[in-house]
Amino acid sequence: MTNNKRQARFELVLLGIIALVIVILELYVDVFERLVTWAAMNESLLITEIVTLAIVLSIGLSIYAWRRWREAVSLEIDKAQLQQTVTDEQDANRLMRSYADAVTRGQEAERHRLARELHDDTIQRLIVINQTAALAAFDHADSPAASDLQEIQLLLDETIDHVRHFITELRPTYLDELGLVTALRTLIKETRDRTELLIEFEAKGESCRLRESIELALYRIVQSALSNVVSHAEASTAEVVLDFRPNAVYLDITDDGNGFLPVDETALVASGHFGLIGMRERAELIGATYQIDAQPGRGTKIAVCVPLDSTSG
Amino acid sequence: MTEKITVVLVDDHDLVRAGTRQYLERADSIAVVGEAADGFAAQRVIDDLRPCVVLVDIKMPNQGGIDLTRWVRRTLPQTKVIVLSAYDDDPYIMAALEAGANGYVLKNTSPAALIQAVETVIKGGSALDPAITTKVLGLLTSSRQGDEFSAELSDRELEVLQLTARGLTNKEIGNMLHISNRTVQGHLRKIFTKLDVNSRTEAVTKAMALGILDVEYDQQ
Repeated sequence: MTNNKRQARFELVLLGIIALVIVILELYVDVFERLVTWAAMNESLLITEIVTLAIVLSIGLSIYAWRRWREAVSLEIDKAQLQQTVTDEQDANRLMRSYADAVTRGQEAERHRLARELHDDTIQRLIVINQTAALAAFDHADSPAASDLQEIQLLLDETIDHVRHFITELRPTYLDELGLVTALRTLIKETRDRTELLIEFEAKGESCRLRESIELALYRIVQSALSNVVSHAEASTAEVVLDFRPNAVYLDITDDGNGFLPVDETALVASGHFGLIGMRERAELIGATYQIDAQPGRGTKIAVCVPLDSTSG
Repeated sequence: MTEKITVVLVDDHDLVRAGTRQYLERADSIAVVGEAADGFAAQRVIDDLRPCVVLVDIKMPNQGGIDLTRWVRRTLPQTKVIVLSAYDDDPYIMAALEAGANGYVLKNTSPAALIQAVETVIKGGSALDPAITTKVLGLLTSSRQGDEFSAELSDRELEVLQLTARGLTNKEIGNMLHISNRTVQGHLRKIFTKLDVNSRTEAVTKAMALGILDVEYDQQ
C-alpha cells in the first residue's frame, strides 16, 4: 500500500477511534453532562457556541478524511494503468527491434547463401567450361575451331567477371579470405573515392583474425555508419579506428556532421532507417557493447567494444 | 628417365580440380600425385607425399589458400607453392606473395602457361601470370621509388602534408595557408589517393619513408 493510502487510512481510523472514545466517555463518565453544567456556570466563556463549532468541525473533518481516502484509491488505479501503458509500449518497442533484428539476420544469411552458391556453383562451372575449351584448343591447336574456342574463353572470362561483381555486392570484399582490416581498408577507400568525404581509417594494435560472425558484424556496422554519414549527417570528415587490444577489440566511428538524436527508434524503423537499429542489434548479437553519442552540431561518435575470449579467434 | 615433377592440387571445387589435373597431364614432365579439398586435409596430404609443387586456391574452407601457403613455405621450404586463383585483385596478390608464394596464376590461363609456371618455379624462378605481372611490378616499384610520388604531389599538397606532419588540425592548416577547411580536406583526399594510404599518420609515415617529406625540427 502506498504512503498516500496508508496515511488516508490512518486518518480515517484515527477519527473513528476519537469518535469511539467520546462515545465511551459519554456513556461511562457522562462527560457532556458535566460539560453542560460547567458551561451553565460559566456562561461568559461561550462554551455552548464552542461546542456547536466543535461538532460542525468534526463532521467536516470526517467528510474530508473520507474524500482523502477515496482520492488515494483512485490515484492508485491511475498509476497502475499508467504503468501498464508504459510496459505495453516497451514491449512493442522490443518486438519491433527483434523484428528488425530478425530481418537483418535473415537478410545476411540469405546473402551469404547466394554468394556461396554463385561462387561454388556458377563461377566454378564457368571455370570448368573455360578449362574444357582451353584443353580442346590445346589438343587441336591447328584446327580452324581453335580461334572459336579462344573466343568462347574470352566471353567466359567476361561472364565470370560479371558474376564476381554480383558476389561482391552480396558479401564484403576480401572479408572471408583476407580479414577485417583489409576489408575495411578497401571499403573506406572506395567510399572516399565515391563521395566528397575525407574518411580516414586506422588499425591499431596487433591485428588478428576474429570469428567470422564478429568480423562480419563489425564490417556491417562500419558500412551502416558510413552510409548514414554519407546520406544523413551532412559531414565532411569521418574517422574509423579499429583497435586490437589483448582483451577486446574497439571500433570507433566519428564524424563531424550535424549529429542526430537516436531517440525514437521505432519511428526510425517506420520511416525505413533500418540502419541505426541494425547496428545496435549486430553489436549485441556478438556480445559487444554499443554506445552512440550524437549531439546536434557536435557530430556523432559510435563506440563498439567486443570482448575477446578464447573462442573469439 | 628423369623424375617427374610431383604436384599436389588443393581446391575445394572438384570439377575445377579435375580440369587442372587434365591440364597438367598434358605434360610428360609432370605427375599429379595428390589432391585435397580443404586446408587441413591438404596439410596431411602434402606432409605425406612431400611434392615438388603445390597448386592452391585462395578461397577454401578450413584454412584458406593464403594460410596454407604460409604453412607450406615454412614447414617444407623445398616445396614450391603456386596460387591458382580466379581473382586478380591486388590485395589477394600481395597477400599471396607476402605469404611466400612462388607464383600466382589465374584460373583462366592456358594449359601451356600453367605447365610453364610449374616448370619455372621448380627451377627456382617466380611464376606470375602475364596478366598480373605489370600490375605487380607497378605495385612493387611504386613502393620503392619516392620520386614517382613526389612528382605526383602538387606543391600545395606537399605544403598541406608538411603541416599535417607538424600535427596541425585541418582548420589550423587552412588558417596558415589562407584556404578553407573544405579545401584542406580536398587536398588530403587527393594525397591519400596518390600515396595509397588511408589516414593522416599513414600519409606522413609513407611520405617520410619515401623521402618526400623532411620533418623540420623547429618549434613553432
